[in-house]
Amino acid sequence: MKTNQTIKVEYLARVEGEGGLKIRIKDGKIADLKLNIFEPPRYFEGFLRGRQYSEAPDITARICGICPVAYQMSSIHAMEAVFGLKQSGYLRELRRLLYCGEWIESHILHAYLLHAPDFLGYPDAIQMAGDHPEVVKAGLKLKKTGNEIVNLLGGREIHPINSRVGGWYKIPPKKQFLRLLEELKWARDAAIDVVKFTSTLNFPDFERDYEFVALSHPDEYALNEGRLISSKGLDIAVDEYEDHFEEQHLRHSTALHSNHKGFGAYHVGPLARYTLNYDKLSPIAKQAAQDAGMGTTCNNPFKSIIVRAIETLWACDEAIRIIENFEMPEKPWVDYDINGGIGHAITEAPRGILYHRYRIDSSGYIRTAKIVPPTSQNLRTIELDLYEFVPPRLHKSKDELTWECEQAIRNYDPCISCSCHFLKLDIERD
Amino acid sequence: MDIHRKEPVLVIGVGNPFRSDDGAGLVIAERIAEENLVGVETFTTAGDILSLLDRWQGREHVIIFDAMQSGKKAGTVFCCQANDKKLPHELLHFSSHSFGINEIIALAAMLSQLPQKLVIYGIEGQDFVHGSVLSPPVSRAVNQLLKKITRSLKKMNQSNSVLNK
Repeated sequence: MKTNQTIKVEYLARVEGEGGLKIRIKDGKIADLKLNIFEPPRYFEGFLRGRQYSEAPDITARICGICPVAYQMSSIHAMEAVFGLKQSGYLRELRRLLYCGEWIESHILHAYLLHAPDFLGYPDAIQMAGDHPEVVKAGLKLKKTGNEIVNLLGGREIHPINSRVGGWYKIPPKKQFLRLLEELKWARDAAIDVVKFTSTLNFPDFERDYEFVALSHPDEYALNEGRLISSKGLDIAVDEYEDHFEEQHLRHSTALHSNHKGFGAYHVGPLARYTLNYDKLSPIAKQAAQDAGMGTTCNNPFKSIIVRAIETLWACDEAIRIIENFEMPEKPWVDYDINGGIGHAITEAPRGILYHRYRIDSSGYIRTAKIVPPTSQNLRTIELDLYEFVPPRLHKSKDELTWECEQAIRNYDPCISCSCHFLKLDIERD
Repeated sequence: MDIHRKEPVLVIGVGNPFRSDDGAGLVIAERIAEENLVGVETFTTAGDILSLLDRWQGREHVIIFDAMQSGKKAGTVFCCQANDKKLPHELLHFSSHSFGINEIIALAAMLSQLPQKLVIYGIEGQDFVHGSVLSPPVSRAVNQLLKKITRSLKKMNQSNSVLNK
């Protein structure tokens, strides 16, 4: 075993965006470890200033091609908070349906095409497809089901355009929703198989005592609203977010790192939601989790692939519930008056909480905007995972260790495009 | 577009309409659509190209247009057939998109989901900056390629109608 070495990944593969990892090892210990985020800054918060409030959902949706719905939902809810608007009834249900579509497509893309090859020893999904064609075909079909929800309700699969402050521009007729039911029922059964499949993978014995942070709602698995809670006792309204969390600028990252004031790094995303909101999962999702040997909490980030499968199953089940109870609203949106003020919102993007805050003037123009995406909130936690994950594995070959480090990073399905964008691994042994 | 209607020829344009020459494939597909050619269906996508696997399922003839960035002279047009046993090396650096056409074709081949005939045209871009205007060399290449493709599609229609009489 070399006691001094550098592990370097120039560009992380199978993550969204551009970044790298450099680990310097001296005398068998980590001397330095950095996730380098070199994706150029995006300046969205800057160019939202001076735009109308109504443009924010479609502009911010452009931040990400995988989770545009999340950006639309957080911006819309923040604007509605300014105008004192609260959604209820089926208009609100349809927002959950759109979000379910995005969760299905995003989770399946990651679990099948980006993360599963790690566990099965393939360099990518294409090679995996050669040996497991039926698994990949089922994954693609499942993903398509999510796309179809977004396509129907959002107007198109990527960067949907049908959500607006107050509701929707247009609601498709009931029969078009009902057409999705058959496929969704297939998808729900297929998702049970995905949970079974992912639970048979080999997982490193690795757990950490995270502070999990997620939205929590008394009646439902939280997507669009709720209080922000944590596994260390935090329980706040979303407009108190900035009193408790801060962003830091670090030299090695064009994405800001987030910090829970007085606590440090925290963990957002599927593991946090599962651990904090397990009791709100639907019975079929709980049953599948139990059958897969999962407890009611999960502290092994490698098992996030199982949790994504469970959340996919839940999202299919929830989408079926919403469609089966379809009631056409009298009008696609509710009216409101524009007034100035500050609005905050947090919704659960597939990768974790997404915070938006806007200050609007009395004419509806955006004066300031702040966006905190989930990946930037997880960046420090990913680095801390690696600090613990690497030392017991230093006896492994550089190639093997590099592979495992990349896999540890992919546990978070990092969306570097969102955080600014992401991996390049660099392990240096002096 | 009704995805259940299957014309013999499917023309697909891939690209980002807001990144200058990256939109070359979209421009071609849109202009072919304006021709309203019998037996030809067009589809454009600026995002999730994984959906192409499903879109081209069961098609006889699919033609894809996409911008490429391979270091060749701007406006160079590259053409190959995906059903060729050995795809040319250029295809590996074919698309400016992160999940490239090359990966989708390789995945489709692994899953036996390639259309009977899949022709790919790549147009070497010059500018991929923000904007919706093609650079002069790419614009010229697009016009020339359009003439050639529409002529060949019309010819194909004529021979099909003769065959069907």
